[in-house]
Amino acid sequence: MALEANIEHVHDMKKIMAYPILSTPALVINEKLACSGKVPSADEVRAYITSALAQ
Amino acid sequence: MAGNVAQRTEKSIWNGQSYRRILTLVLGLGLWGLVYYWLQPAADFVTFRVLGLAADSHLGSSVAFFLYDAPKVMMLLVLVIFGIGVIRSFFTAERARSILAGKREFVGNITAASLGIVTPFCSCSACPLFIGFVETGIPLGVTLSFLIASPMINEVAAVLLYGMFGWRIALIYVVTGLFIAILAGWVIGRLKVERYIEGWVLERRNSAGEVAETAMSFEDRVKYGLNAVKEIVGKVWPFLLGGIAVGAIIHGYIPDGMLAALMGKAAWWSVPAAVIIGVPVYSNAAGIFPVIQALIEKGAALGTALAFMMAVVGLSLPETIILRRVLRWQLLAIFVGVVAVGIVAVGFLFNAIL
Repeated sequence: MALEANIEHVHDMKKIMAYPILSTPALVINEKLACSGKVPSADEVRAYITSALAQ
Repeated sequence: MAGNVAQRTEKSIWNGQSYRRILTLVLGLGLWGLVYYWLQPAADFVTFRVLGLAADSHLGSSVAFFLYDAPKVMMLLVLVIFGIGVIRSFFTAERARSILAGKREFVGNITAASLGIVTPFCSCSACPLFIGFVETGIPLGVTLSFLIASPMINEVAAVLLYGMFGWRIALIYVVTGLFIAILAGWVIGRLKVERYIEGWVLERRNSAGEVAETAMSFEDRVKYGLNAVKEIVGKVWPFLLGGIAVGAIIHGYIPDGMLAALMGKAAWWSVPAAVIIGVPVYSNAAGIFPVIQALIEKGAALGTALAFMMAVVGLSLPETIILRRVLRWQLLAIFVGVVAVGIVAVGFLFNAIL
């Protein structure tokens, strides 16, 4: 995947809780929660990004 | 007719590959049972025949203990972590929240503590979980029941207790852990201390959005269980082997009853002392276990040893520090205090009845 992306690691609890997250770690793509509570595999991340781009 | 249709659709989902995987699973479990059954004779054979050690010598008794216990505990651990992993794949924090939403306090505490056992949860998620529960209107005490039960009833500790002391003590540990979580959460709920939750958390109330859940197939759940085994057993095995080695040395060399005067039933103050020492000490269940075993075997009362273990495993300093972000220190102190009192009570109870 050759994409220009801005990746940010968020530690601030208040910022984290701006998303509907119950367990960490969580992944947010384009301000939408993609997954939480687990470390997704590379394939899963690819699928998340693809579906986020399709929207 | 309707049944036939249902069967046919199910067949199309269960293809040959699924059958083969299930067969592998069943065969694996059978093999597990067979090996487990032959562990004791194999350990004795290696110690007394192959190594030629005398059964009544210090060394012989230590080596036989280690050769039997180490594989036994590892095998139990793999099986139980796998089983719990599969069960946990049915539960998510989101599902726990939707089950708890709208529950009244007492029933809510019981449900929350039970869900705390089966919901996969790491103490690093204590904050988002706390906020997520409270903002949907789940009472503070019910939320805390969940947060207490989750680390208190530790599956690794339960397996170790079963492996070393039998199912009765493992059951006592699980049931009393559940009891403390229910009661401590309920007591804190009665105290009406919501004002000690950090302000920014309360401002968010009722703003929770629904989170979509993804469906899992049976194979996904098996995979989830195997991942749990890889992760947890991979993390604890060095502690475990080290711990069992220490336990084996104590088993062979230290005279029985040595600790009876200090930590026996007669010394009532040893229960609160064990909890006071145990709260700031933080260790995983595997690391603390050799200590517990040594204490019990050499004359410490069971209630005292269990209280120590619960204080170490259930009340951890890192989790308390994490929770400080959402709870003011007054509430945090009440939280630690109520749970500690509960653990002391359990210690006394078991010293009295066992």
